[in-house]
Amino acid sequence: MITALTKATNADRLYQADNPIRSHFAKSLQEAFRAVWQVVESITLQVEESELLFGDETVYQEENRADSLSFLFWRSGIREVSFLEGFEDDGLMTLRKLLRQARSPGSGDFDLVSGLWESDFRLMQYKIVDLLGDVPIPEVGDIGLADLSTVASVALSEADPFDNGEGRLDHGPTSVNWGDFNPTLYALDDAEINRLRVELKNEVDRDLRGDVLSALFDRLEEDGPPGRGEEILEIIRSMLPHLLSRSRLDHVVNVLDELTNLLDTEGVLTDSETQLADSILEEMGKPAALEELVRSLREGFVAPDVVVLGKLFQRLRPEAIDTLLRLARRSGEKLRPLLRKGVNGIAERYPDEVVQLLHSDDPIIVTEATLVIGQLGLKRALPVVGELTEHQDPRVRLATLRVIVQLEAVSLYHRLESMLRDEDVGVRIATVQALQFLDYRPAVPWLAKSIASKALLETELKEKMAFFRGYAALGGNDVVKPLTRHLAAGGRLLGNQRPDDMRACAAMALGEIRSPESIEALRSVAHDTSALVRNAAYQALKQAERPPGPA
Amino acid sequence: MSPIAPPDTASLGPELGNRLITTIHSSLAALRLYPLDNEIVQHTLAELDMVARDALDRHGTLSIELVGDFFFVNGARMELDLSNYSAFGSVAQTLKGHGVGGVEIAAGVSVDEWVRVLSWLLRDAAPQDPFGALEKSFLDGTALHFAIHPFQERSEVQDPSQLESAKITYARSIHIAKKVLADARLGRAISTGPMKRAAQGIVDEVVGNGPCMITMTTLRDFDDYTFTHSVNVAIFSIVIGQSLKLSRNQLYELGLCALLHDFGKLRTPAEILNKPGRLTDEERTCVQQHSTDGLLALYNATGMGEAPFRPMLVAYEHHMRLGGGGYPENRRPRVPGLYSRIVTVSDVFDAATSKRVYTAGASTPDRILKEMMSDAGFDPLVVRAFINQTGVFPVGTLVVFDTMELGIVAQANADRNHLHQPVVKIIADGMGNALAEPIDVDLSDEVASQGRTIVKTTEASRYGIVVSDYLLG
Repeated sequence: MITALTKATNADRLYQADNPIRSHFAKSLQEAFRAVWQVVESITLQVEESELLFGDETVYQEENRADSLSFLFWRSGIREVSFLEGFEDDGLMTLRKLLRQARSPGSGDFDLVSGLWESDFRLMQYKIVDLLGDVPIPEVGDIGLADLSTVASVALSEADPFDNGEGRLDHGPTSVNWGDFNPTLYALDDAEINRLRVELKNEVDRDLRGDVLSALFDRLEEDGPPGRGEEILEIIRSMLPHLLSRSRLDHVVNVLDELTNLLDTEGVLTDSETQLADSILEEMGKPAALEELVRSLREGFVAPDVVVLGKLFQRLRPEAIDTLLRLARRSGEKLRPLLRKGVNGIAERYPDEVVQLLHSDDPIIVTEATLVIGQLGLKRALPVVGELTEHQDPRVRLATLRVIVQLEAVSLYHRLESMLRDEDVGVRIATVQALQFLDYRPAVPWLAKSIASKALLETELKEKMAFFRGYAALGGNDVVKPLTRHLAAGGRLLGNQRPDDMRACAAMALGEIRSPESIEALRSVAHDTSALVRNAAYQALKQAERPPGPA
Repeated sequence: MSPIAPPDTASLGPELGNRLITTIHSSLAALRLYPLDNEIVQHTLAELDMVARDALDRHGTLSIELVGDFFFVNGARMELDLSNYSAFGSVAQTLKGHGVGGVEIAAGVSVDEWVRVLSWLLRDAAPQDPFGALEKSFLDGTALHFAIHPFQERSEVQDPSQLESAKITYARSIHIAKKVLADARLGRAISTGPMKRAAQGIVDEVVGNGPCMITMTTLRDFDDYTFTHSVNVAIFSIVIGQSLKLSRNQLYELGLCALLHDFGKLRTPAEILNKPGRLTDEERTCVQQHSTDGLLALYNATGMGEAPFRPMLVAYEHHMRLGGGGYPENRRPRVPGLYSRIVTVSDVFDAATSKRVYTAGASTPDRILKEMMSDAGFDPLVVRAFINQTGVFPVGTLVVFDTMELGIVAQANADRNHLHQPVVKIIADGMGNALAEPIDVDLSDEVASQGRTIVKTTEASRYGIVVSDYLLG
């Protein structure tokens, strides 16, 4: 059994809880205990520094203190250990946990005996020696035969300072009131006992950290002894990581609010306290802190209330925007909206900081900051946004496009013409779609030019389709004739035979117009030699003849 | 520090032991209400028989012991929890009422025997020698598979070995308190490890040996006042907690909070702390900082995993009064927690009864309790729970009888209906002659007390009477 216990405790040190090797040793240990109970109903072991004895017999020996089970007991003062039948089901797992704790690095402060006491094992007993050694026992004097002759009379003769004359006995002044004799005065009835039980539950469930924080802030607000304010702030600082790791983000939010209020209120904090409080707020928004927080969110280590998390982000300083934008970009579907919402919250309070970020060297930051501009409707940033339509990074250019649409930035619409010729296909397609969304009819000639260009001739079908459709959507019936020309067989484009895919795109575009003219044009190619064109026309006719969907 | 247990170690699983006690309770309850042939009675008896047989089949014998407030079934201590405390309490009360401390049951016991024994237990206990009266019933031979033995009530005269144990625990606790605070004053890291052991030791002693530990609080070593005070407050707090049925671990945590409640005083200048006379306003303000200092100083104490938040709060709140008085002042809403309120009562009581210099108007222990009862700043239920344990006249009170004899309260009366009639040591006769051998008298015992009535309480130290010499000698 001892061998099994040794192996199991070693396995506990070396392996994770779900490791099969550890589970195997744990099971063997239980079986070893059960085997002992076939023979005896309890087992008592004497604990020596490097060995355990059962009676006179050494059942375990290990000289190496680091590995020794007996030394683990011995150094805590335990000199005898008894296990009773059933312990393997009742307390063995807890004992293993305690032994593991006692052996873990940095376990210097862990007291095995206190741990055993707290565990309150019913089926394990132990005896200890007092490691304090000899402690002087209080001495009591002899009662002697002191002169007590006058005590009673002196005591009785004295006026009772609290005596109000009620409930006196007949024989002289007394402080003893018959009212005191009523035991119901002191006895607690069932309702009161229940009330105290509720109070006890409240105590057990008490939000200790919250109450400590409240106490710290109470004292921080008053003039205290020198150095106290700084000490309080250092405690608050060191509590923050613990609060975060326990998902007590509500407390973190509270701390940030309290510190902000203190800093905003004149005359409460001294200069050095102000500096410290400020540094705490700053630290919360630093990349290291935020990356750690997001990592713990991602790994599920911290599982916060979404609303509270949002509040926390919103209370960070503007310097945090940069890091949050970066983290949002790298985060998954679940976290990204939260982080972006947090950024928006900060940005609402510090819009200038967001505008500043548009000048960042990091295109990711610029992109995200641009998107924030759009979400917040910061029109005064539009001049900078306009310049960003020529940014070297297509992601930035796309973001500017989105903002132009979001804010209906008419002053920047002219920039969209050149974006139709952007080097990035995604930007080009998005520009057409943007124009379509904005219903910007002045762009019709731009699109006419584009669909006749060599560039479009050489591009992929998806882009061609987007341009033709955009042209049709914006031009309406006015562009039926040009589109019919693009549709016609035998037509030439830039000196070459018009390719069938362009003709098919023209057909689809005509289908979007749905006018009698466009339908007639489509019918004219119903028997076209090109299957691609015939199919496109057929699809387009079907679409044109179908009742239009909701706007 | 080993848990208390009778020597019989043929342990029963906790579940089976639990079922045994609860089925005994059910059977008693059923027999109390219904005739024997009632279906409910028959059902509960059948269940009891089944549980007992199961246990006896496994272990051959069955023993139920009542030690203090704990049941031990075949050596294993039964845990009190929310599902059984009422049943356990009821059975304990029934047994104690008859002076029964233990029952042994042999294999082969029949349902009829169970019925007989339970019925005897349901009878009113004899006013005189209840155990003896019950034992007579067993002499008729109709319950041969049962044997009973008496309950070890808290002795009127404290068992010397229990007293010795209490002294050792008390001395250790003070030694630890001294060392921890001395280390803290020197700027060394604060480890709560030793304090945890001290608190656990006090819990064990109070639970197993409460009256002796309370008696230890009468020792007044004023050189070590700070440390004896912390230990005394821990003892009183645990006593109150016990009255409120806190669990063992809750008592321990409460005790630890109490031991550390004045930890902040390590930052109070020693010359102010030890000043014999009245403090100036400035000195008083300085001392009052110890609540906040305790909150801050304890934060960095090691040995408790994360910071010891509960002891921090108790150190901070123990001078706050309900309704907003006391200190420090609250700017944000706060109601001191239950543990803080318990420590408050204990702290005030011990401090008020520890006056080093007699001043006019100094209060006796009973008077202090009365003041606390009428002061709305103290939680009245906590004060009453304290009185439930200490009695109206707490241990160490010097009393004058209507016979002009002098006595010292040695122990509260275990019977809550006689809180005003403690066990006393008569130390002087009606002529004022000191007795070489003080006489122990239970004032609730009509015969022994000879009708003595307390008519006055007074402060022992005024007359140079060292109470602990009488109680611990």
